[in-house]
Amino acid sequence: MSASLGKVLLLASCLWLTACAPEPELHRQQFFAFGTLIEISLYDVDTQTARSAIDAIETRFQHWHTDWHAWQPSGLTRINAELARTGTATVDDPQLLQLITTGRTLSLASGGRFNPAAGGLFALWGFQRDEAAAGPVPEDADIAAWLNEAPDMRDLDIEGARLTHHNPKLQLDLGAIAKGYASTLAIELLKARGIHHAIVAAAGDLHAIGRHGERPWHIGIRHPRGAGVIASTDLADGESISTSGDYERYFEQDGVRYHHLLDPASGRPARTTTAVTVIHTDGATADAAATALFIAGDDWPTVARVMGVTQVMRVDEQGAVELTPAMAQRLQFAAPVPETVRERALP
Amino acid sequence: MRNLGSRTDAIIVLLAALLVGASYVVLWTPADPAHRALIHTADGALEPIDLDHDRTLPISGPLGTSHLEIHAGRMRFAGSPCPNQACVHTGWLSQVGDFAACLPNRVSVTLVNDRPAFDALNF
Repeated sequence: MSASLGKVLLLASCLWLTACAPEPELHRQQFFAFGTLIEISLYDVDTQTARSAIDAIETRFQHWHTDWHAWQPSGLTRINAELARTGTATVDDPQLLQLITTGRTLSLASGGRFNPAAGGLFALWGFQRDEAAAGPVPEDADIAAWLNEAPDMRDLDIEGARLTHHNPKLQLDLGAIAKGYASTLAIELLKARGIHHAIVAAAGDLHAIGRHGERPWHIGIRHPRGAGVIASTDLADGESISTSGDYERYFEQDGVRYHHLLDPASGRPARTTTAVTVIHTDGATADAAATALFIAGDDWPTVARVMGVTQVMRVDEQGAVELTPAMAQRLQFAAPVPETVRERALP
Repeated sequence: MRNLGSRTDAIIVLLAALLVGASYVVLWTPADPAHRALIHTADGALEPIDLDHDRTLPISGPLGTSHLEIHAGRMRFAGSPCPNQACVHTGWLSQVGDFAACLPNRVSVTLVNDRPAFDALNF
């Protein structure tokens, strides 16, 4: 008996010892860039490699921040100034050129709902500002004047590194794509350093590669109302997830919330949606699509189809959740589960 | 031998049940109350803060001092020198994964237990 019991206990201890074997270390570091908190998580790398990789990524983010900024003096503000003055400008930085080119392609696919040419509209609403609060609500006449010219990315020609515009109101603001694009660029930099398991999380835009050891990376998606998460999902190797919500940047005036997801068709914050989450293999596409589908409102499946995104969650103003079938398969809702959850297939 | 066999079986069943129970505790993370707060500032991460005694923590940032209040195991931004007060409007944080940030003053708070519920948050 004692021999059998001994074997069983030995077996059990072996199981527990295996379970308690030291895991490879997780390295996690945060820094501020792009006006938000950037978090890098690396798994299964030694401390020195992790430190130098995270330092390199932070340096790149600070460079992108200063090169792509839409209102602090940057490579982009110089381009906007030249476009306004002469109608043409040359983009020196290859990554900025790629960002503008990708932005144009995605904007056209979104039917102009994601509109990086609408810098003038963001400025009008006071969203191009760091220290003071955004707002107030612009005069109707000022919104009408912008809508009269309605610049979009069709007004911008790109030949090599040379930009030419056909609309004096065109002002580039890449805020709705830059973080998604940067998260994917940062992942490429990590891969070039031989790192295969990582998350680059730039607030609402996150790109992951590899896994956390034996399990996939597990990501929580913020609830658009309150401080908790609405749902979570595992990310596969190379997936990006982006969320656009009305809680990110907003001001309140006379009891009404005015958020930064402006509909270029009305010149005002898009109503009917509170958050959209998109999963895709490309960070820029996920980021731009989250904005475009937010602005599309109830018509989001049509826009998702054209933009080539199949994994979408939308939360509407009543708190009802809509999911594509592909998203429904992978999402786990946190308690309390939303009262209304429905699937909507893409057309 | 029969007796020995059945006793061994019983021990194995008992251990299996314990393992299943332990797996639930380790792997299943429903909405659960948090015990600690991770605070991040412009100067980096602070030591994790226990939520077990009530107090208010002054946290310095580029705009001034943000006040983080701990009360009854919950935490909130009681005040912050930012223009739109989004952090204050977030209200009380109490569950693992709850998050609030004053981006202008570069102070962020995430609630955790011993094991984080998520590898990252999309917000």
